Order: sequence, then C-alpha cells, then structure tokens
Amino acid sequence: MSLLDTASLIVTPNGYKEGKLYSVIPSDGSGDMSVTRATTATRVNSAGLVELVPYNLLSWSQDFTNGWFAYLGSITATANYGTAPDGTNTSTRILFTSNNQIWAKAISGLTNLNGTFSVWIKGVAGQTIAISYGGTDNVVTLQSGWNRYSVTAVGTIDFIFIDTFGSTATDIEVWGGQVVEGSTAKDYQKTETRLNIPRLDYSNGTCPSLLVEPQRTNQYLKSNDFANWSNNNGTNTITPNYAISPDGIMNASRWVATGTGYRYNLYGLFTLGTTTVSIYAKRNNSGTQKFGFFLNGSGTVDYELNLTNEWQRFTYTFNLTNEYQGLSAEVGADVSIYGYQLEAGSYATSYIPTTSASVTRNADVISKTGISSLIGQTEGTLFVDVYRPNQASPFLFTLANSVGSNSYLNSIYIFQLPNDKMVVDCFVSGVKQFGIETSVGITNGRHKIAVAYKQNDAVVYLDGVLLGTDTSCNIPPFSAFEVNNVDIGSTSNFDINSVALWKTKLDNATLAQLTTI
Amino acid sequence: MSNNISWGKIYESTWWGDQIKTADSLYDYATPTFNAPFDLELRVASEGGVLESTFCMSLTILNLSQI
Repeated sequence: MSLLDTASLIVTPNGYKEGKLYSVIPSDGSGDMSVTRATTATRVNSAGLVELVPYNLLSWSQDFTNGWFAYLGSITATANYGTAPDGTNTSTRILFTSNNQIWAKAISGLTNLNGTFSVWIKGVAGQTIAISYGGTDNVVTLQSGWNRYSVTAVGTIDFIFIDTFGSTATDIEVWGGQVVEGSTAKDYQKTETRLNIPRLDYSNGTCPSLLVEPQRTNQYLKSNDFANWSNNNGTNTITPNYAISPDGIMNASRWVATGTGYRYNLYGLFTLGTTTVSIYAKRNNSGTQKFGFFLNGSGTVDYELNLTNEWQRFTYTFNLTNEYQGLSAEVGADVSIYGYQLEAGSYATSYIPTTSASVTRNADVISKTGISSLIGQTEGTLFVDVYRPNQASPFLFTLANSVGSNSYLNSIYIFQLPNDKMVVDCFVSGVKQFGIETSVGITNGRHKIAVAYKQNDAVVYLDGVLLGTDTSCNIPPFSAFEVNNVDIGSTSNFDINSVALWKTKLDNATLAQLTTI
Repeated sequence: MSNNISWGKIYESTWWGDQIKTADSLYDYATPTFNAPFDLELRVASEGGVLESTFCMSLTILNLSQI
C-alpha cells in the first residue's frame, strides 16, 4: 500500500470553481475546500500573464435575466429555457417585440475601455441580431444551431447590449456571455458572483500553486493610467497603450524623460508608515535609463529600477511619511511601465488594478468543516507542501474542531510567524500539549512539512529532517481544516502546492521521504 | 485500440503514458485511488468548474504512489 492508497485527503491546486477548490481524494466531494475572499483579484496565469480572476467580467454569465434589463422596448427573457451548448438546460430565451429594442447589462470592473463581448446565440439561420460592447454594435448573421459571436470595441459606456437595431431576429436563445479586456474573446469562463475564486498562480514555475494572501489595498488611483496622474513637472511625456503589458494587452505606457523630474497622482492622504510600492517596467532602448520611485516628496530617483529588456516587477518597502509619492526619471530615460501599486505593509502582494478609487482585495481563506471522517482522531498525519515568498510572510494551517476565532483551543497547527520561527503546536481545551519549533524562520522558497500525532507520540518533519518530537501529549477531536485564520488577522501570504491527510501516524522513515524536497 | 505488443491503455489518452504491467509490478495502476484524477476531471466538468495543469497533478499523485 502506498501513501496514495492510504491518504484520506489530497488537495492540489488544479480543479476549482467559485467558492471551491476540489480535492483529488476523496472523489465524492466531501473533501472539497471552501474558498472565501469576497473580492476579485489577479494572478499570474499559465502563460505567465497577469490576469484578472475571473477574467470574465460578466457576472452570472449563464443567466441573461440576472442584472439584465429592457433599456428600450418591451422585452421578455426566460432563464433556463432550453438546452445550452454544454448540454445543460441553461439557455435564456430573449423575445423582442419589435426592432430598435435593447436588452442591456451594466459592466463593472473595467480598467481598460478596450474590450470584447462574446455570447452564444441560437435563432433562425439567416436572420440577424445585434450585440454591442461599450456602445458599439455588431450586427451578426445567425448560423444554424449554436454559434459564438463577439464584438470588440473601445467602449464609451460600461454596458453591453443584445439589441434589434438594424437586425431582423426577434426570438433568440443566448448562453455563455463573456466580457474581457482586450480584443481577444478568450475561452469561455462561467461566472456567477465572480467572487471567492481560488487563484492558481504560476509565478513559481510551470506548475500552479494556490495563492493565499492577506487583505491589501492599492491606495494609488489610476494604477495603469499614468497619463492622467495629477501632477508632473513637465519633464516627461507619457504615451498610453504603447506596448504589450504583462497582462498581454496593449496597455502599457511609455515614459520618455525629456528632462529630469517626476510624475505622481495626488488625491488624498495615504496610510502612513511601512509601505510597499511596486510597478512593472522594462527599458525601451539601450541608452541611459535612470528611472525609479521617488519617496516622500523628494521628486528625484530614490530607488532606481534595474531595468532590462524584459518585463519585471519591482518592489520597494519604506517608511511613508507624506502623500507625495510616485515615479521619477533622469533625462534620456525611455521606459515602458504598467501597474503601479502602493500598499501598506512590508512586502508587495499581487497586483490590484485601480481606476477612480482605491481597491481592496480581501484575504484568501480556505477551510473545510464537518470532515471528522477524513481526519485521524486518535492518530494521524498532516502534510503540507508550501512556497514562502519572503521572510515577512506568515502562514497557518490548522486541524481543529471548528474554524474561525479561537479554533486553536482544540487544534494542531503549523504556524510560520512573520520574521520569526515556525511553530507546530497542539492544544486541548486551551491547554498546550506540545510545541515543536524551528530556531529561526524557514527560508524563502519551497518547503514540505509533516506533523504526525497520536497520544504521547508527536513528531514533526521539515524538508526531510526530523524537527522535533513530544512524548507527553493528548490529542483533541478534529472535524475541520483551515488555511489562514482570523486569529492571526488572516495575514497568511504564501503558495500551497498540496495538502494531504492520513488517518494513521506515519512512521519516521516515511515522513522523511514524504517531506524531502 | 490495442497495440501489437498487447500492453495497453484504458483510455485513448492517459495521464500517465502507457504502462507495462508484469507479475513483478509493485503497483496496480488500475486502483480506484490511482484513477482519482480521472474522477476529478469528470466531477469538475459536471459542475462547470475549471481544471488546470493536470500533468502537474499527475506528478503529485505519482510521487505519493511511490512512497
């Protein structure tokens, strides 16, 4: 029997949907993790591009009655009307009563007016129907059966339409709406609320990790609209949409320094104190390129970016003492830039696009309750394979009999403190049973950790090496698993490669093999 | 479709490549547990979810099957 046969739970970052990260084992759904964030976010996708999660900006993409309305005319829409392209009974019938009628929905979350609306439509072959993005109509001729149609435009309004202006069809079925930034429709991505979607991130290699981050706010408005920042001293020119940016769209800006000076966006007070600024940048030629962040009103390059011909994300952490914070360059600099971020904290987190207001991305919390049957009660093993991005980033895994506040009172947890050691503790009714810890924090990068337990016999392995043991401990009852937690302010920041449970205490040789990097 | 040496695959394409099973094989690759990724693929599809990088998942599963 291998560890694969005996595992009671294996979760890898591969299968997901809104609010759910699928477990590989068990396969009946009882081990699927709940994911909560309640905001959208970004990730680095498998192509290495910064991507909105979800990239489909249209909520409830398979229900054209949710949020849609008759902007012009008397229109009837019926959800779950017929068989959709995926075989489910989820198409929506839209019945217009005449020409020049508009079925409309507002779109939010756009950071770029260049977008594409795509939708599957079925109707009478040869008839026409109009689809519109941002005020631009595209009258399409319907083919037989279900077909996907799209319209790309530089929008002037944040609405999409299905309308009968200049068209002949009045009775159609629709399914699978999608709005994306840029001129490519992209593969269809089903949405509902667009929230709570696990983020599979490829920043660390060709295989994904589950990105877990704390709540952060990008306080800098117009994060990718450098031309419209409020202040500059006339020493630079900005060309919007100059280059393909790290998100794969032609929306990076060019900064040419005709003199030595600065540009910043002032709208109010930032949170003062420890702050991290970040930006994606690359050089446009091989000349002198002194370009970087100016800090606390200096107006000069205080932190120079080591630019190359490739996109990189540069970050800098400092003590923010006033609101005059932005970019600066010396004459001759010719740089492409994308995605400015200013966030309170000692390290940068994933890019949070902003337009007219600051934007907060909530913390990622992954949990599962009611799984006492999957967690060893009198003995067991918890294994985690993680990636730690920096020394300030904590992480927390908890086996307990509840989630949320005070769940640690009956638990075993693995907790990497920020800028400190990693501890593995066990509590029963609030009484500490054992504590096994490193002398210093684990290094940045990938680590495999396992804690195996039974009464008076606990052991922790880290990266193939025995970290410590305890021979006088009781074990609490378990029914829940949680990553990140309100008790530490949901401050975890790391990537998860896999998590597994066994209902037996694995022997030391097996633990060593399991945790070897 | 079988091949000319009578070793084969359950599906037209597998996640693992083709396996040679002999009397000395240490692991039965047809066990329900080993097929969990296939079950996951079906389950995700049936719920309208997304499955990414199945090859990476197969590596994790394969590694655990060897311990």
